Amino acid sequence: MKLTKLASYNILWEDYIKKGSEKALSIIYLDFYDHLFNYGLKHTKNREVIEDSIQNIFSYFLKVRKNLGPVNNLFGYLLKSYRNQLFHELAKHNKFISTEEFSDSDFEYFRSQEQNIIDQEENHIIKSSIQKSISLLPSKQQEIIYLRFDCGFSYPDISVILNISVESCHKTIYRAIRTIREDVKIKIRL
Amino acid sequence: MGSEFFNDFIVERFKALNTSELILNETFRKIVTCEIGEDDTIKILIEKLPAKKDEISLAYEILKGLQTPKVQNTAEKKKQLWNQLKTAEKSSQLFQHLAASLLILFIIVTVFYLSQTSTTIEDVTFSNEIDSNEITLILASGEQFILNKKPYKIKHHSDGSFFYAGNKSKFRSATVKNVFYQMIVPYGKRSDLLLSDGTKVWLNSGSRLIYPPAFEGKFREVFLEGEAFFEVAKDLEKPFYVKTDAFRLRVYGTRFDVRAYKKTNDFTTSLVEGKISLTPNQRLLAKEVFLLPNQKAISSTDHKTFKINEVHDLENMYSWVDGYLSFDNESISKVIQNISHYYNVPIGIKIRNNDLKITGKLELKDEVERVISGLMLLTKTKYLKDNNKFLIYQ
Repeated sequence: MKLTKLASYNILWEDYIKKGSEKALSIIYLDFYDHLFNYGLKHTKNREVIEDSIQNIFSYFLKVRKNLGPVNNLFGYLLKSYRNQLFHELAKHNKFISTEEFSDSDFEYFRSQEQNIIDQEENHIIKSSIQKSISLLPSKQQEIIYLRFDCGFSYPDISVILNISVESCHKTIYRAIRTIREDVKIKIRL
Repeated sequence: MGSEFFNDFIVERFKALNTSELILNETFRKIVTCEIGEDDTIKILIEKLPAKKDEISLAYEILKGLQTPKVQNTAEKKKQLWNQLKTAEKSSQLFQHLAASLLILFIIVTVFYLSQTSTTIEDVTFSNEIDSNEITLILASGEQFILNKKPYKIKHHSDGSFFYAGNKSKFRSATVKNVFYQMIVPYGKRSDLLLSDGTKVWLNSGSRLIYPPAFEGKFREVFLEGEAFFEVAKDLEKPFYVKTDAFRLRVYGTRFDVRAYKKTNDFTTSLVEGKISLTPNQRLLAKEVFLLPNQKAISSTDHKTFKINEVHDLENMYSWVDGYLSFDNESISKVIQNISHYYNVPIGIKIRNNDLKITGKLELKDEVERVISGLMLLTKTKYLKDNNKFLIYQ
């Protein structure tokens, strides 16, 4: 998603909260749905929870329009709201379903099956090396890197979404990139 | 953007950067993800900085490798989901309005059906689920009495009127003929009433009894959904029948418990005293099956036959009549199951030691949470409450 476009979503959001334009909210819903969905997929395999959480946050927006305020970065705001809702739903599941199925609420950068099949692509050595290096990181660090490099969030945005300091974002990303680069270099030489 | 100027600008900026620095550079990242520049910007960059070829292409590959495939939902699906959301929102706004009009509709429908002269019990049973939160007596006129102030007494007379005596008020209803009344008892509640022939009925949680205010004709007949304990008054001239969705029960003067829960497909009859017989609804020419005291008949899942068992803890089975559940060396999971059924509330258990046995009486309070917290105190377990669900753990 391009930044220029992202700013225009903030205006749509204001149209909704100030003038009650449901059309504006519907555009936001339709355009961000996949982003939230994919972010959810990094947290859990349970698609029901992923979808319910999206419905729940937008249902909340519809209910309490007058209590909502303007935002600087709508995508970040949505992601943060969604993240909280997702954890809430997952916690509910974990409480009442004793099977292990739903206990994997940890963030995994390369989660789904299809992402691990890196067939005959020429750069598969680099890709599999990156996946290996990332999968060895703690889940919170994986999430930071994901927000930075797959979603394109700035350090201050990430620090707000994940409730961490900007410095620790910097540190985590710097170290992770150094590790990935070293690992890839070793792989290429082999 | 694909100008010479832009290209010169990035060449100037990137010429001193190594792989890591390129990856961390916001402009470089945006060129790779095609947010700025042209498709061939990277190529131009490498051409202009041949000495940095390896570093630039490695940074490029790593940034590419950090992109993950995305699931795309179809536009139709998303639109449909959005519409569902909007509809749900609209309907919740309209809910109170709608609920009021549905109630009126329900009353009209009930009045319509009940005012037909040839009403039979089958005509009445068609109507809806037990959805009231209070014990409710529905008269043939559609009038509803909410019985939420205990204690009260309801006694029917042979002329078709009934006498109500509550905490503060007493009244006698008008006499009626050829109609049916319904008593509805929601989950977690109990009620009792005296029928016009002197038969006493205790209704357990999640039940409905349909009965005529006065028994006319050659026999006495009531319809039951849920669980009830009957003490049937003797009348050799007029046999007493209890109908359920699975079977018809004939009474020859006696005390017995009937369970007819559709939800759990639990159709069981236990006889305490006297003599009763059962006939499945499913088979037209089915024989009567007789039950002796201390026996129980469990309807098969297809409701065509019965399994007869001896019962030794019969009193425990209908202890709910006196307002408690009684357990004799029962496992905690079984006890929880009973409570969960009684209050129609999901209760999960996470307990390592399932050998925990419980013997004693559990008072059936109005609030399920009070029952659970009492039990937890005894068994030294803890519980969590969430959204009207409970989880019991150690």
